[in-house]
Amino acid sequence: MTKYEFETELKKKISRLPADEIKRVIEYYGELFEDMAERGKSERDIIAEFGNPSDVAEKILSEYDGESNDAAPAPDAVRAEETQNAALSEPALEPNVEKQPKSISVQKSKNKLDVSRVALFALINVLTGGVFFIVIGVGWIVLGTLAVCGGAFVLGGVVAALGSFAVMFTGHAGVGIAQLGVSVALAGIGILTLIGSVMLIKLYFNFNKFIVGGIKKLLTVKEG
Amino acid sequence: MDAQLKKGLLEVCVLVSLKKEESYGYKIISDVSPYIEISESTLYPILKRLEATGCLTTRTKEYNGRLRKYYMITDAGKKKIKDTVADLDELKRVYEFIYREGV
Repeated sequence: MTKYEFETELKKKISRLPADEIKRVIEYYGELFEDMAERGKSERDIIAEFGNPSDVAEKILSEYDGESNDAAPAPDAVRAEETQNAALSEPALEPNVEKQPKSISVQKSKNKLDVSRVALFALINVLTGGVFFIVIGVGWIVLGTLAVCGGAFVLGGVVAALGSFAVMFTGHAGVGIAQLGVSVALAGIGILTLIGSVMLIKLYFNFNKFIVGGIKKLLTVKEG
Repeated sequence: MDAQLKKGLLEVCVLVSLKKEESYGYKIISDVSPYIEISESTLYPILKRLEATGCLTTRTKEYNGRLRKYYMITDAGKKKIKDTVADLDELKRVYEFIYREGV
């Protein structure tokens, strides 16, 4: 496999990550490649040492997903680190480091839905008559109504504007012009309302996503 | 070696390799690998995590007409080394017990 093939494969497999993260990964391996090439290693040997792009990608993805789930290192990892650092005082412990065929993958703590918490959440919802979902739903209804009103104003404004021309040509120029003015204003208000409600809907949607994410977090429990 | 055990060890090994002076990817791997197995793909997440927890900072410097990322240990990183070295005696006793009685 060539360096180009490795990079292309790797980029494809981590493509769901943010662009700056992908850039960091490619720069990291690119830099390592240059350093190894400078020391006389061949392209083929270097890429072989990096390993399979799928394995490399898997490590990167699982570590990235793990990091975005915990804010701080899990307590057992910290304790484990502390107990292990003592081993540093005995470098003679492993004078011959065996080359293992595969690098040891980092263990990730698994998150799973805690059944008892889910049951509690369901119970609370039933007892309060689903008040939580009702409130969220009302939010959507209000925003939807606002959007519809905006649309109606625009439609009405446009129709009245067109009608105003007819009025003008039937000899009531003054009235017609006044009607045109009012209908354009109506349409304008409608457009602004529509734009405003679309923005609010987007905001509300993100807010809902945030709430759902928060609920998920409350209902899951780390193990491992 | 147990994976969780190894991961913690690797983090501190990387920090130790930065203790005297700043270093870069390839050099960190060559400094640490005589003592514990570390590959390019294991080092990357470790560096990320150490930076995220404030144990090291990075900067890019030009070298031979290309850019290289250098890693520098922070006070927090030095403290992390100190904290884990403090548990040395305890682990030493445990190690000797296991080695003496368990083998």
